[in-house]
Amino acid sequence: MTDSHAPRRRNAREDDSTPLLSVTDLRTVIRTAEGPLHAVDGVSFSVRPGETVCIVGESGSGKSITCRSVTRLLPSAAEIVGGELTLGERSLRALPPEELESIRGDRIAHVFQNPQRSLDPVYPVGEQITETIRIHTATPSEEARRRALTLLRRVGIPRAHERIDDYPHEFSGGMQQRVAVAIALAGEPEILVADEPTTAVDATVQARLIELFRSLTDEGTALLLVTHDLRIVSALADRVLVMYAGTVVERGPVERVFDRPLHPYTQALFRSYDATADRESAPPRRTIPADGCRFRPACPHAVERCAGGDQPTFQGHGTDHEVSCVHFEPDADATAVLADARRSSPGRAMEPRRDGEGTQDEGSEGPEGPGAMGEPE
Amino acid sequence: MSDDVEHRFENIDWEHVSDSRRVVTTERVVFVCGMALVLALALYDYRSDDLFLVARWRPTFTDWVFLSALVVVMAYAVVPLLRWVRRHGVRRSTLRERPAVLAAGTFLALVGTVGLLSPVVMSTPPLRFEHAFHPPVGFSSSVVPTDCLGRETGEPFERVCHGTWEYPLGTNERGHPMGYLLVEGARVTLYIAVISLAFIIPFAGAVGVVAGYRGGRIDDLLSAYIDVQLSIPAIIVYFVGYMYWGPSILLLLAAFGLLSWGGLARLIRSEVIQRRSDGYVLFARSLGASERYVTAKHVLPNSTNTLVPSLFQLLALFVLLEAAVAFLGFHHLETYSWGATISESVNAAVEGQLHDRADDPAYRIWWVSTLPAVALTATIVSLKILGDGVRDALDPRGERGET
Repeated sequence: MTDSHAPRRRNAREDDSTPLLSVTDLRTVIRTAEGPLHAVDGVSFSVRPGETVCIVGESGSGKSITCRSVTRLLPSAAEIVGGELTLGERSLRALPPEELESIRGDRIAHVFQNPQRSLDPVYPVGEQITETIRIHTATPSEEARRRALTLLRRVGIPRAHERIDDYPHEFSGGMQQRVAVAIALAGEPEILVADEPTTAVDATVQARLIELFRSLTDEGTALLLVTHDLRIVSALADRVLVMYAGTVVERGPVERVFDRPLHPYTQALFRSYDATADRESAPPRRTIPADGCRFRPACPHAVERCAGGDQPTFQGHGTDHEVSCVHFEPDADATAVLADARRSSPGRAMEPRRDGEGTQDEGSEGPEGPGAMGEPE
Repeated sequence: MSDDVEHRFENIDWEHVSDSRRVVTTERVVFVCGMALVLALALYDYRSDDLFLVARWRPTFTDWVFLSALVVVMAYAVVPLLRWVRRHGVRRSTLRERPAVLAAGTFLALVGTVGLLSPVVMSTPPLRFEHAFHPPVGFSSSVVPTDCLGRETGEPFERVCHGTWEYPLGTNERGHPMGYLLVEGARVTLYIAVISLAFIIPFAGAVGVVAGYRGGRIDDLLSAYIDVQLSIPAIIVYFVGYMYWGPSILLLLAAFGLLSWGGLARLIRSEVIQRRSDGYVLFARSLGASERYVTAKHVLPNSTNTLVPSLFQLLALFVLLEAAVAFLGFHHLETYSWGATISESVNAAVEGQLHDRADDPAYRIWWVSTLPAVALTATIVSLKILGDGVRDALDPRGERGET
């Protein structure tokens, strides 16, 4: 198992120890009428060049706010109150807005869920791509346009040279999302933060987008992907973060987490993808406790120790695989939870949607994606 | 790359002349050159003893204000519009499909041209009371001028004067040709429209954008200010100013204009607030665009659907207000506004030297009121139609719906 996931990390550069983006103990609150809501409550993770990190979790678990906190792209009611964000060597947390703007789009780019709403309806798509280029560099317009064409071809827009002057409404939803990706890529970012980029598009388009993202990471772009579609996770992720109520409950390489989901919440989440899901829909965020293990009210294994204080400390369970659950603490007995792990594994349920992609992502690694072929072990 | 694409590259170059990074933009060049020209002309006019600047035109202070306003409108409305037309092109079919918009545009262009050139090419005609109340060509009237230049018919005591080509549109009680009065009215209308477009609409824009974009306390403060301003009756302010400084177009614009932009500012504010939550704003922000850039490049262009018709509506309102004030007689006596001319036939029939005609109902000299009333109505209708037309033209999504 230890070496079996090595191919998945094919894109991670040699200096694995220096992450491109690292987020440490991030805390973001949203001010609401009923007082502050801890949308992100102590989240830590890191993304290395060429690596794909997926954040999974149900709606309202703080996935999107985590992503938007990275470049402080938050709604006015939200505020980062703690933690550290580092891109390369630079701290993003205290950066003045102008410098942050020079990083957005240039080093970190975002793609959002709804492509229809991401594109400005009053400009042709080509202009929206050149706009991104020209915000950051004084590129001659001819050059910018050439690059816009290249990008449109790159994301798979057929007859790009004819369509570059078309308006967003003249594209289908899937095309619009690809155009949005082209716009995001225009500044040649080192890391792409994609917030549910495949949710609003149909299955065929999803497969194409997966292909596109894969080719990006092959070229060394890091990808931070938020999704609640486990198929996307299994197709793309190197590592997975499972979030619940603003906290990370489990993190690790995708095949380990999929093969053996340790946290009772992860198990419940994975089981909910099963047709015979026994998990009810998420409780309102206000009713979730804001201390200790947030999942304890719904957890079949909850004990007294789960309550109070910070969330349980992360316990390693094999290489890189960590879980925040009291049952995995050294003096506890995790047998009962582990017993659920096997039957909650979505590994077999995650059959690929088309052309076989995904099968290789479930633990038994074969050659995968373009670019992985010639990679020596 | 085909020739076609090469050709388009030029287009892109041109469109980015306005790139905010650059110091020299077409807008700024037009603005600076135009202002310099106006200033130079004003200085020359001030220094020279000559009575007339060009031909028979003696510019007044109002004229200089108008010329500066014209420069502002040229630089920041006409230049961007021309650039837009150049980039997107106006399809002939679109024009054919919208004959009303085309007609409205043509009419307003005519009013504008005539109003612009009138001070240069026309001079105030002499008072000729003996030529008062000639009917237009093809019509006849029983209110006979002392000297009827046209054909006269009827009994000695029931004379009828027919229209003459000397005065194709007839004359008013002072013997001024109606054509002259209409042209002068067009000039007043043009002044009102251009000066308010250049110096009053920007208030609405600035306050609306700042309030919507900053939010919080600044928004509260500005919104409260707008409420207060909208509750001040402009007509009273105008009368107070009238008592001190006498009537003038500038006073009218100051009183009505500066007190009436609140509605548009509120509209802009709410548009900015709504558009700011649109996905493309977040997307542009995520790609490094500053708030200011996003507002100028994405928020305002996406608000044209609402703003453009309201802006034209406000211009129409100003034109109408000026006519109303002039109709009441609180205007500068030598400004022959359409409103003033409309009132002439009504007033003429009841008072003054024409007292002997006091029993004549106003309809017997119908052309004096009707012609400027038609011009005024046509202008206001045209402004509204053109506003809708410009809105539809600016919206790329509209092209699909129209077939």
